[in-house]
Amino acid sequence: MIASIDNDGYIRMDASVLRVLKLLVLTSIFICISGAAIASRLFSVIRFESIIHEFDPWFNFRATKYLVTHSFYKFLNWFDDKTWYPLGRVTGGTLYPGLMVTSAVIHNILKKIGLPIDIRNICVMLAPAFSSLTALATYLFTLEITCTLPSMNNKKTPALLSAAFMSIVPGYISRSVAGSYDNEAIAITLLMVTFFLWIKSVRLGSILYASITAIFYFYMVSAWGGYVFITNMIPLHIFILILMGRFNYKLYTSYCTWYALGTLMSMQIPFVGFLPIKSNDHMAAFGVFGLLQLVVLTNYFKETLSPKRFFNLMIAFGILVFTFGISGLIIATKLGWIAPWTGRFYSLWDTNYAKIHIPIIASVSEHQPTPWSSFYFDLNFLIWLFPIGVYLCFNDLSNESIFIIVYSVLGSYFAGVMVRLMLTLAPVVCVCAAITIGKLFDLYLDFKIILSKKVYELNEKVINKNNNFWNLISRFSVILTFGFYLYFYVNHCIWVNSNAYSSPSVVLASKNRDGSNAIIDDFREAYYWLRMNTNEDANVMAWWDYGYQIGGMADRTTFVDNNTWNNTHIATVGKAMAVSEANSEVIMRRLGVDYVLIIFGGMLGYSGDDINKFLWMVRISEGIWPEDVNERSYFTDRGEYKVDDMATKTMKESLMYKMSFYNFGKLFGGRDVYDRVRQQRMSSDYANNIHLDVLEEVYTSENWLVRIYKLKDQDNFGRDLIEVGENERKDTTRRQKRTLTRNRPEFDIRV
Amino acid sequence: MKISAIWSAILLFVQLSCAITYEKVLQNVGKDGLLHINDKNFLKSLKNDDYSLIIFITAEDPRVGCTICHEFGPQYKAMAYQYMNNLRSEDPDTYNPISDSNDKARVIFAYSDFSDSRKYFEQLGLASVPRLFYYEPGKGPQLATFSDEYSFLVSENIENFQNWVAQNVPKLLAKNLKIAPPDQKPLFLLSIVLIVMTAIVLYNFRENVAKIAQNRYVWQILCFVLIILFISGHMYNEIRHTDSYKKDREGNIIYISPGHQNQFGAETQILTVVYGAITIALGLLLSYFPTVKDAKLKVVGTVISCIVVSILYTYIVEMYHIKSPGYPLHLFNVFAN
Repeated sequence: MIASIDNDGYIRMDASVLRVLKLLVLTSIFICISGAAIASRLFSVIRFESIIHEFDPWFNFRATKYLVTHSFYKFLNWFDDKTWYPLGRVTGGTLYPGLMVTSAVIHNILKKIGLPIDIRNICVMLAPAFSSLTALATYLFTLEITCTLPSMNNKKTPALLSAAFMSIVPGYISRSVAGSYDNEAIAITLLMVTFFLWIKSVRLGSILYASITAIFYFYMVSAWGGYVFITNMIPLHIFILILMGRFNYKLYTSYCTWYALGTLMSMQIPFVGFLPIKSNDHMAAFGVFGLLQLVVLTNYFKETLSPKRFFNLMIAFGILVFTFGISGLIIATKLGWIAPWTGRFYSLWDTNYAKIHIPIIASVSEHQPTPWSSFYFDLNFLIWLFPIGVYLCFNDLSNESIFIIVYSVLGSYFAGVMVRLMLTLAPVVCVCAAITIGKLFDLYLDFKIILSKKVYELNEKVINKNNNFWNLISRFSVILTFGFYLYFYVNHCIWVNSNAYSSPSVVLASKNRDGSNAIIDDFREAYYWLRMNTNEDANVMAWWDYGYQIGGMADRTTFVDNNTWNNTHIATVGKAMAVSEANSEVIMRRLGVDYVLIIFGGMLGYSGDDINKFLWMVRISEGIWPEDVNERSYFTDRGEYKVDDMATKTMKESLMYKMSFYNFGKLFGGRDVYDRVRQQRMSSDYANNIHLDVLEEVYTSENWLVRIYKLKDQDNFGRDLIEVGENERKDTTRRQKRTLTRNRPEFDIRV
Repeated sequence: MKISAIWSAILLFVQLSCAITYEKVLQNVGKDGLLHINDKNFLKSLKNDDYSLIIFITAEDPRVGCTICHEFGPQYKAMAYQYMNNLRSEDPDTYNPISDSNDKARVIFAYSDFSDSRKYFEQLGLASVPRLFYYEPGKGPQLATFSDEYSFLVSENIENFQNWVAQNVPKLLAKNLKIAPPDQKPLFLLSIVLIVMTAIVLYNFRENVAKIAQNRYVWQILCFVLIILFISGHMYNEIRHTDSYKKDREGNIIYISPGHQNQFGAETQILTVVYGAITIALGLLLSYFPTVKDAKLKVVGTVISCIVVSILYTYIVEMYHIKSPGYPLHLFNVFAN
């Protein structure tokens, strides 16, 4: 018998059976949550195909492929001669290897057990798979918190809710859809696991848990530059606990274990190296480590010395530590051992600093501040449940809830200053919102009192039936409205995920005139053309945005890429694009350019094209060669950015402009030429007169999105290529020119 | 000897002429390196006898809603400050035009804001801000007939401006105007001084301070206010210096900026109130009503709180619709889709 009904009408069950039932329910809930987490990230795979997204993931993918085909040590010592030509890049020492190692390990394990899966599919599916683990980690983290909140009756409800919230919250999905194979994909999982283990080790004061925390911290360091957030969060937590007089030896044990092991381990990552003892990002952790030793020492003296002596000793001690600390800091800074006052330090606190003094930071869109609409967009109703969750944590102060409070305040500040840091705020918002909803359901969804007969009889003496009816009404009003909000949340998340965060940006979706879906696959088409039709050692010059994609998809050597470590090299490429053909030829020959690849959106109306990015090329190269390039001269006298007949001379002569609009006029067959991005019209005569002498057009993709040019070989007779072109143009009469145009093969969109 | 001779000569010159010489005007230049022009002083101050004058005409009042003014203003100020710093520095390598024979080589950066110089703006016949004028020596009083004007680009970049100044002012190179990052040593010393001073103050009032610092409600409210400010986009306003509202062409006031990536100050204010109200309603639901003994009050209170929350939430969703018209979900007709 599994269950029996006793005399009072209660269902009685064996405890072990109940436990099994509970476990079953819990497991099925988790399977549902994982299913939701993975399914909501698959929109792009279903709509397009299993493909790596955007820019940086292409580099990670390429690095992973290298790791899979070579050994791990070769990977760490990898010198990549296919990027930053002719400099190359010490890739193994300048990346966070965690992501690549993770997928390589998964790949190898699956191969061992007889499931050979293409490494690309593993890379594409890694983020969704890890997101379901994140949900599990969030569950454990929240459970750890709610266990310390005495006023919470049902500890597991908030934990499960937070896992459910986390699994589909758009703020996290934005970086973890299938195909966005980026460091953040695994980093958020590791963040949550590390925090969970940290909370656990603080509660238990266990060296074991602190060591596991350190191991996961090490994993996090190996995976994402954002590990600095943990490096500062944990010391801050400890520091505040000390200030609140909550010091105990559990804190001491767990922090010292974590700090010593974690720091030593993190220094094993080649890219991190000696940063943990040098840079200002890690100073707080070191300072708190020192402070803890001092606190322990004072505790010891307090027990052994008389109060008066202790007081005198403390004063002497304080002065000593203060002077030593300050002078040590000054000396170390002067000698250049540490650099605590760098520009980054200021830009985080003085938000205007970056604007004036570090323009490159100001230019990156991920460093923009966050308007409220982004908070709503990424977190939906969790955002207004968040403050009240923090309030509940305040009501039952414990070491663990203080962690939540600190994390909330800090996280919301950083998310407010920088859009991309929404990612680190999302977990704590989910946890706080889950605590709120959990508490609400605790109070209003708990029908035990009404249903249970005994209590009902007890109550009957005090409260009449009518009251019970009203009680039900108030309960249902809360349950129904909040149930509805939960439903709305799911709807919102699905809409956001499917519409905003599921575009691979390598393949574009658009609509035909009849409303049917069309897929624009120009990028891959062009990269594939490069792969099949050029020499294996050909050097392709393109703006740095496309460096990783060319490396990953076309497998050709690039000059600059998204790892923008060498500003001068970027400026050289920018200058080659920005100056006139004759000057550009010199630069390109010296660099060893074979092909030039540009993105042109004028035909399709794709606004992220190179003409729109052109000003950055000009600006960056002006920073290095102010006498050769001048931003001003690309603007008309009225300060407008024109590309039509009214464009300035410098603009018309620049290589980028010519490459973009070369032959564009022929598409319109004598009509006015219209640029769909800039919404500018140029006359057909003018557009047909744009000519290129040092480059020849070798490939233009279906929708003209990608255009590839080849640098012509030098003239056999040693003539200047531009002169040759000029002479040819002089010789053709007007009529010849017209027939030339007429007899050209048809330029049209091939759909 | 030589310098003192020039000094006395200049002093003599000052006494003789009523126009303002460089030496004299330098005394009027504020600590920020700017000559502030307003209605009271523009007739007097603009008589540039032996120096070039560059004046930046702006309107920083958020009600005017001039984005370029806000973008360019701080850069202009930083640059003027840098110029005056260079002038005052004793390093012989830095550019110093005080004793230059060419009048044009000396330059003063002036600044005028619409709020306190309406008359001056009228005299100039201005229709738009920001404007940036250059006057050759002696041409200052001609107001509207300036020697050169700088034309602003859509997105302003300080180097263009530095080059423009360098074109007009001989011997002044654009690199002389390059803004140096703030000297960090004084900042460091200042922070030490501040720490010591706060420590003293805290020590003197230690009992009261301890009482406040140990009060949980103080911290609760502080965290609360901070979180609500941050999540309602306060930092965005701080960093971008957004206007609190704008007027459209018909003069109607718009409080909510359309566009997902934009925001007005008023939105933050509205949202802090909304979030605050929701939090209070939820707080009552969570902590107050469950403990109430009076059954009627309990029911009425719970239902009213629920209604308040749903109304406010609907308001947030509808506000979001203004910002992002493509958003298809409404709180109360989700079932319609």
